[in-house]
Amino acid sequence: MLRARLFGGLWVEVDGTPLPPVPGLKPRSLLAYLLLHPGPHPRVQLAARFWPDVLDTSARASLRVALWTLRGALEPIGAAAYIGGDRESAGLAAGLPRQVDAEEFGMLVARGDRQSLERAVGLASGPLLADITDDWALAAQDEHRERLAAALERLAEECERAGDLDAAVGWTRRALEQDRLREGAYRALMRRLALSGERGLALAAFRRCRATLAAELGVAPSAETRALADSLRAGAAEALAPAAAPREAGPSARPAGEPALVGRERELGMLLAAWFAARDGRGGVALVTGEAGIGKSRLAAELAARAEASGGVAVVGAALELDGGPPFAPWSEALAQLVTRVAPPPPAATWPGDLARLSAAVETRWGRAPGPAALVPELERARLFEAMVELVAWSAAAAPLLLVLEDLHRADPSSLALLAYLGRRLPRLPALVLATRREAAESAELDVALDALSRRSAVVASLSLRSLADADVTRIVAAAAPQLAPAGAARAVAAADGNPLLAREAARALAAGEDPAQGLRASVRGPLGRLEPQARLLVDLAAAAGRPLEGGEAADLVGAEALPAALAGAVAADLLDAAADRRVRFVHALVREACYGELAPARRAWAHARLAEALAQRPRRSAAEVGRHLRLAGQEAPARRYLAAAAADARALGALDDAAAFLAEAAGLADDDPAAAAELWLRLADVEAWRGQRAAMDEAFARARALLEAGGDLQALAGAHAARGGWLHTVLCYPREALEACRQALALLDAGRLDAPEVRALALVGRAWAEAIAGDAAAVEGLIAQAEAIPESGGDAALAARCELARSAALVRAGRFAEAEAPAERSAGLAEGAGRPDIAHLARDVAASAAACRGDFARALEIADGGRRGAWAGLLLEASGHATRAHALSRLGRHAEAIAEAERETLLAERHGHAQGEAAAAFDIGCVLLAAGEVPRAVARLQAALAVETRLFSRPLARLRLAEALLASGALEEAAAELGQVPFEPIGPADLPQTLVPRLARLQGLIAAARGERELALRRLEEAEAGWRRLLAQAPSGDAFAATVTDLGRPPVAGLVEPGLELGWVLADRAGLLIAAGRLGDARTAVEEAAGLADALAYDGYRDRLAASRRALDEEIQHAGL
Amino acid sequence: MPGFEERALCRAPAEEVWKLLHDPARYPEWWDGVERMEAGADGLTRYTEAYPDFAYPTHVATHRRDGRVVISCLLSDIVHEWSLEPAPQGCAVRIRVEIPEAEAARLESLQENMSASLVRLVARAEAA
Repeated sequence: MLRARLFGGLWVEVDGTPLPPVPGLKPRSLLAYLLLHPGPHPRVQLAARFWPDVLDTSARASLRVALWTLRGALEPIGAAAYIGGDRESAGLAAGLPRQVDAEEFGMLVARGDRQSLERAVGLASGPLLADITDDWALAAQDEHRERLAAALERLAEECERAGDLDAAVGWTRRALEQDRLREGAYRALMRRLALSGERGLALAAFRRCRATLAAELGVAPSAETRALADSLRAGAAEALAPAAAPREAGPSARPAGEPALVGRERELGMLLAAWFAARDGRGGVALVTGEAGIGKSRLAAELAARAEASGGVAVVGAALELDGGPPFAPWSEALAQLVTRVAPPPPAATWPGDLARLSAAVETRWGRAPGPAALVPELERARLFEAMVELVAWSAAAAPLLLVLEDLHRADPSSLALLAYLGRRLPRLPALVLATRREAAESAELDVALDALSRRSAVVASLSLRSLADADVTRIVAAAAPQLAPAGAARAVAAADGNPLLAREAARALAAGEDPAQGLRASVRGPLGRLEPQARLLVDLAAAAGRPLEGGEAADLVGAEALPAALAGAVAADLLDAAADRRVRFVHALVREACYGELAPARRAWAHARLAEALAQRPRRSAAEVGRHLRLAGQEAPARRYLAAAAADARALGALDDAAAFLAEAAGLADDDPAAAAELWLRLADVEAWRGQRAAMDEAFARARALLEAGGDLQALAGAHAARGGWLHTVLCYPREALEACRQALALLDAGRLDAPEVRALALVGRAWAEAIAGDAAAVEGLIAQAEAIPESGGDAALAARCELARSAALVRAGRFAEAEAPAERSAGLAEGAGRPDIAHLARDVAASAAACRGDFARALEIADGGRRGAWAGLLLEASGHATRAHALSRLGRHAEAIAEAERETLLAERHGHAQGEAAAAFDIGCVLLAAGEVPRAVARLQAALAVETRLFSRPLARLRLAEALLASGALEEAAAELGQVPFEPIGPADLPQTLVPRLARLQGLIAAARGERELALRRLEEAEAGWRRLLAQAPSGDAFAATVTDLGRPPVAGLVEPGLELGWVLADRAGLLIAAGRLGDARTAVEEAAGLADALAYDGYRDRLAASRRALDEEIQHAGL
Repeated sequence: MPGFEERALCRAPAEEVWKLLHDPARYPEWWDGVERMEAGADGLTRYTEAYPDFAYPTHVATHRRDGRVVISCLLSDIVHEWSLEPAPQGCAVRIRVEIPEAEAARLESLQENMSASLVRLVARAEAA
């Protein structure tokens, strides 16, 4: 067995034989790193960590040498096998016995009992790796000091709980030796010394705390520490009770008065297993479900404490208890904590600017101001989500991360979408998300998010908390009210029905002489009634707030002078909990609900009004929260304004579901102001369009239109129609209806002789594009000329980009493919300058399609490659770019690259959890795999594509491709069955039905041939041949392009059909059959025509088949000659 | 609006009927009285045996939702809707015709024409 000691300095032995000196500093440092971080590490990361200043290739070479040196050093003691790895990774080999003190330290701390903690701190008697001076080791030493201090504090708590105050004081002093700025430890020391009767020493500890903080940080002790010192001077006994001791970190301390976690050992074990796996780089999402008060938060707090003690970082965010709050609330809360725990990233990283829009803490802690919002909500959301992934990866690279998200059954849809997005990335990160939800609380969005994560194996644990056994409840009751007689305790246990919160509250109620049977409302009534007025005010306002109040907010609400006493009173009454993060919160959500229920309607309305007034004055206030309180206060007019502002905030974060909800609510409050209502409905229609909700968009628009028509405001009505035309031709792809909307806008402007140049320009450009795709392409230039003649449109780069795009589309539609490329490129350039990567991307797709339409796939690929350098343009457009490249590469015979590109499309869709996008990607990769001859994989992907209903690809074509792949794999009957499904698939213009007929006939022919029905096979192939010849004879037009834009919403290179190429395939198939039938002359003709087509089209797909036919023909002729 | 509906069982697989319905160039093979179909820049044009020099601009559309093939005469506004259903040992073919009020006098002759066409369509598919 390998034994290693890292505390004190690096020392290794194997089966009692010490390791000889390792030559070189780097190999020795590398060995220490691998021992401290067991498990495989990507070589690229190891190389970058140890040789950060050289090129990747050099760093990887140096790593190889160092690993070789290490193995050489371990070889003489028979331990070379301990250094494992492959081409991509290296690390300490798994499965070989080892004992590493630092690893043992972590496991002992995770156990958390006194004995284990004593052994842990005993192990860590010396500094970690004192003889290694690399940067990573210095950082590890800092982290270890923090972990050791946390373990010492925990040990002190255990000793105090066991009544051993002397030991508790000793361990607290040891914690302060590790970290002398640990203010919470000073408070614990003061309290424990005072409890030991050493009030003088306790106050001396306070003076030392004050001096240290002043000298090191230039700050005074916190209000809590000062208040404790004041209490000690005054001799107040209640200050010494552990119940009053604030928690050091949100989730890591135990709820006051509660013994160690009771009755949840199995569940904790499961979560710890998930945490340890996450710590080793295999993260995920763990879910805890249970009824209110059953102990979800307590279990999460215990895991967080263990995670912190084992070297991790734990942060908590909770969904608001206020319906309709701001989006991303739990993430925002967790983010604010995380930035205080993690070093700021390098200035070159742009993602902190994206996160700064979510929480002001990013700016205050990291000095990173919010970056500019994207013009397109989808892009904003994508940036925000990716920034959160970056933050988690950045944080977890320093220390494993536990992110607790509480009460997700209440979370807003955007928060849950972010959970689904991040969760998919966790299996490759040392980070665990622990989500809690109430049982029986329905949340379809949460179910969808969890289901998506389960399908990707990202849910690593899912447990449901059941009622505790009576024996466990008895322990809780005894801890909460030790003075209760056995009969009273039994009553409390019976009343709790296995629920720990109810057990505690019932015990306290009985101890206070109240009846627990009357429920939680009754049990808070007594404590509420005994509160001093200021404490009652604080409790009432905190109950109405529906979330923990920041210290500053609480001070604004009840007055800074009155706050400490008010808080102390509410804490003493076991209603509020003053955590170390200085926020004011209830001891449990159910207690908050009970206290809120106790508020009379008038008092409740007043509390909400007071909260709205105070919160509106705060910097970076949340409009959603203020608006919600105003509504609950019955102040509808100001509520409407705040809700509209909340919608704008949500839209700017890409939280479109929330924006839609705010706008619908605000519009519903505007009955007395039709103009304002119309404006709100139009804004809602805009948001619904961005959400892709066509029906909802139409409904909101219809409401706005009715109000504007009733008011006779023609100019606003024209503007509304123009806006609708814009949504229908940009965000949503309904060119025919866009055309109608733009025509209506222009008709209104003309009929009223209205002077509205911006609206007119918008309508003209919208109509130009729609005419190009779905109307009269010849009218496009005239419309663009009218738009460009409007002075107000000058300098509008986005408008100019749309003009060029319309011009390009019209040229494609007219079959003038070569000419279409230049305006598309101009459009892309203008759009990029205007900050519209979506238009730029679409323009490049049009240009690439134009090149493909004229058969120049190399150029199509070149154009598509140009788009790769652009900014993120949204999922569907980015995916379309990958598809374009994949199909162009496939057409050029570069199959391996085509498959790789299609895999990128698949990965992108998977990362975003977009089921329809995944299906489209499966179709694309299925096609390129089939072209590459990778038949089994093609079958699997095409079947996966057809399993999802989507309009993003042609289903009948997918069936035909699947039949072709099945046939190639020898699955004759399955192929025939697929053909039988084709007539019952939905077909639209983009499916190009006239091209499906010869495709179907060809496959029928091939199946007949495989069955030995040669005559039938020839007949079907002749049908196919006739069909392709007819299509080949038709002049090339861009109608197919227009149809795919209209029907599929993207102009894919894949959607374009080459009749000559298809005819070549049929001729090649037919030649083989003709040879077998002895019709050698016909076969020769077919071969030569197919070869001519392949030459003309620069296509090699069936040349092998032609060569085989030629050989067969030569043999037949030779045979006949003999 | 006047109209009628006809239905026939076909012993051929659905794909044989489907190919005939989705390929306008083959309409003369089964559509009674149609001499030829021509595809041009302005779309499809139908020519009949009775009036071989008279062009009937025709629109053929397919519907995603229910798989109907709709053939509309742009001159007379007569709409033919063809649809297929699975059936044991073959398929069922349904034709529904809508005639504008102004053309109502042609209802009987049109029904005869489409009945004959339906029979020919089925026979053509079965013989394929």
